[in-house]
Amino acid sequence: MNEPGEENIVLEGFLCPICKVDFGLDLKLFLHFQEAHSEDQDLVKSFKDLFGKAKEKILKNDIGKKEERHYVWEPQEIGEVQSHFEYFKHCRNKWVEHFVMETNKTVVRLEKLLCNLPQDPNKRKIHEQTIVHWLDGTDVTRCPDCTKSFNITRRQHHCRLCGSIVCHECSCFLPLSKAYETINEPGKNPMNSIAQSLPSFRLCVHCGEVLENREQTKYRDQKPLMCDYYDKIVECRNKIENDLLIKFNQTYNLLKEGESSYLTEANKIRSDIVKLAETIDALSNRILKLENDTNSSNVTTKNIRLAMIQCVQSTVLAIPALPSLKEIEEIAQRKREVAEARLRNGQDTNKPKMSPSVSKRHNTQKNEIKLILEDGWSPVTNANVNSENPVVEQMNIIKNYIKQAKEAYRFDEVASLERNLQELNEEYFKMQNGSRNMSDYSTKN
Amino acid sequence: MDLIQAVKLYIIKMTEDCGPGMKVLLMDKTTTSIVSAVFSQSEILQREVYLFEQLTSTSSSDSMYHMKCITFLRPTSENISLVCKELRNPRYGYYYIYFSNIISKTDIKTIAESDIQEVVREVQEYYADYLAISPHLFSLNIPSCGQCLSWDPLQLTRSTQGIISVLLSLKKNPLIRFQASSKMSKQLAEKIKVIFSKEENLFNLKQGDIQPQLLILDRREDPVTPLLMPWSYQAMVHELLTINNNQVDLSHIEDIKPDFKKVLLCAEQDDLYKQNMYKNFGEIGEIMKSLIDDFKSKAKNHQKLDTISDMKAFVENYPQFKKMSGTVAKHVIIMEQLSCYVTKKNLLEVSELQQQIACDIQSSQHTQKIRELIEKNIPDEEASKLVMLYALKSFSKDSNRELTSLIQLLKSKKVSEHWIELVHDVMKFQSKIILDNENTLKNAKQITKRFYKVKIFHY
Repeated sequence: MNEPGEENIVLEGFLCPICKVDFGLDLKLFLHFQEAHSEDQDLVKSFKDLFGKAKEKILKNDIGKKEERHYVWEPQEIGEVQSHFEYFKHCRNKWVEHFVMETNKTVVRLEKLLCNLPQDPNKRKIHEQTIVHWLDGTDVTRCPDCTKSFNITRRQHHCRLCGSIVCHECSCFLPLSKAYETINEPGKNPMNSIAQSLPSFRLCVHCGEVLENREQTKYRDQKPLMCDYYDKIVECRNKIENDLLIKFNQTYNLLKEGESSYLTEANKIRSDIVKLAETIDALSNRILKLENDTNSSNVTTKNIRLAMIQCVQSTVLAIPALPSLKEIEEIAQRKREVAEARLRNGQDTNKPKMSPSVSKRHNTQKNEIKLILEDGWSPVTNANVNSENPVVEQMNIIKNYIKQAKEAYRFDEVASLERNLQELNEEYFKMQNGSRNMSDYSTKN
Repeated sequence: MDLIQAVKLYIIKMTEDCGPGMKVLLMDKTTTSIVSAVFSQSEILQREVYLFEQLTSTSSSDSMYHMKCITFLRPTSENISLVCKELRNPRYGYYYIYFSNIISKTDIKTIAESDIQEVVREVQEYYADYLAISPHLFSLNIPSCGQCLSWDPLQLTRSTQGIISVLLSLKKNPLIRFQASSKMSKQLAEKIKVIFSKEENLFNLKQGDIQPQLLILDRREDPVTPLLMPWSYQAMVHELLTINNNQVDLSHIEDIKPDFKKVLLCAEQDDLYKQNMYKNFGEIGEIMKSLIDDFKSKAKNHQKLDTISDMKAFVENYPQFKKMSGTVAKHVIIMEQLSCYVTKKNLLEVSELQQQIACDIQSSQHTQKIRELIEKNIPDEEASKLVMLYALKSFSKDSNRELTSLIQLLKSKKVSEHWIELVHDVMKFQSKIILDNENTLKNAKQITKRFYKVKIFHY
């Protein structure tokens, strides 16, 4: 659009608007103007008017911008965060090492205890004492855990795994069957029924906790049936969101452009999405029907079902109905007419009517526009953006006209052209906002 | 600078940090309200959080190892010991622990030593330690922060923490300015300053050219405004029906539908409310009327579904329609309540007199008018508010006599003791202010005198 030539050379500085000489200082320019062009009073007046108008416009623009800012917050990044995980790991590692060692020792002792365990109580006691050294109880007057003193009613007990002395309240029992389980040899127990009747091991709470923790970790990797269903649901959702919906929107936009050949494909994608949504619905229903033994898992399944119903609703409702073949052809027809009209009229100075095809085309250019937005889109300075957007094109044309009119000193025309430009600006901004809102909407769903 | 957004971003980050999979959100009482203030249940469900638990000493023992646990807590000592207990017997697969404020190294060490099964995957500070009520307003839900004009030490700490977290979540390191006449403002400012210097690394933030300012003002500076009746929509709802955590409790209304017993008034989700929350009562009435008309015509359109295209249009518009019907019905009920209160409490007349007293128009007739209104049996609180307002605005010697007679009148109308005490409190407060003012005047005189003396010596 900007052909290089004398007309378009940009001059800067304190120029005299009539003889285009740079005076360098405002005072000099003023004096020159009074000397040389004092008779051109009309011109001065029109100049003043122009400045007044420009001022008005700038003020108006400012107000507009302020209001805009009032409603749309600037994009906000996440606030400060501070991670303590490194220090946490450092502390934990030290502690866990110590704990793992203790656990291993305890398990090894338990294995030894269970190996050739005699059934006779007396022999068993001797066997227990040979493996773990029992603490001498004569000097221990208080239970080391609860610090209550021992007497006839609160007797001393030995932990079979570490040999320390505790009272009855600070000890627990490990059934033999469980003990065999702990060392991973449930089958090695030859006399199951007899073992059941045998007394369990008395342990102090610490050793009990160590074994209990070890047991728990075994179950950690077990997953209930719910997880399988849930994984399948996630798979379906990903397919809809990351694949099918994008494809659908693309074809839908093409249809709106009047490309009727995509109708069958769009229909197929549409039915695929609906099918997947149905699968999600069915799976979440199956999760809901699962037998749950705990209250929290009941709540969880209910919530999963709720979330999936929402998800299905929002996806299915977000897919617009496809236009019929007739409608598509109408659109194509209208588009052709618009194109012809544009050819006939050439580049019209008036504000173009927004044909539906233009706004639809805009949707397909969403990404492009977004990019411009992020670069700090400003309607005035980006005059040379070579956009395909007809509005921008029109704006550029008008800007050129304004320039030419200014050079021809036709200031009345400049003013009217500027009004046009202003309207176009507003229109463009509205479209931008519209497309941005739409993109927000689509990401939300 | 959007507070709701700031808290939201933190919580979104939490749900993203732990990757895909079923999640449970483990919170304390305060963080529960922090989260629920910015997220609706459906929103948070879409982020794969399916279970919400409160960390208490009597938590259930249902273990669900297939779930990831996002733990979001305030760093109180009680919470720390509860987390330790939880980690010793973990109920969930992995733990992602977030504290809403600055936590000490020793506390982290304590927690680390409880994590024997190595289930913790993350320990972070995310500074969402306040209830974001609207983009530019937060609350800490402190019912009363002090007594006898001095801080309750616990609440001083909480307020400091709250403000620190607001600043960190907005990434601001401001200059602190406080109201010099208020001791409480000064104390708070000093506390904040201490944390600034203690946590230098945290507050080493990138700033623009202009350093932001933190203004600490004492609400007591202006005792008049809270006594006046507000007439904008949100303020009226709060004054007459009370908004708590964006919720309005309407259960006191007879034969109300169960859906509307507790309604949510949230500008984030309710465009109608967002656009009109600051408009005044009259305007809202008109807007409501036009909305109802509009709505009725739409409902009529929906009644006749003759052609297929009608039905299609109906299905496409239905969710919007249903949502709109819900919001409109909600606001209509609230408006009904408001106008009911306005007539019942004679608020138009009361408010007019309030404004006159506040602006000192025709001050000679105030007592007479107050008396007339009290005789009309306006509710206790309105009557005593008028007397309080009068006490605040009248300084002359006559007014003392007038006030005693007004209080006598209140008593004869059997206004509850609580309100009369409040009137006395306001009178005490007012006399103290007058005294203070005289002192500062005297001080100012002394200073100027000294100033002149110095000048004289200088010459």
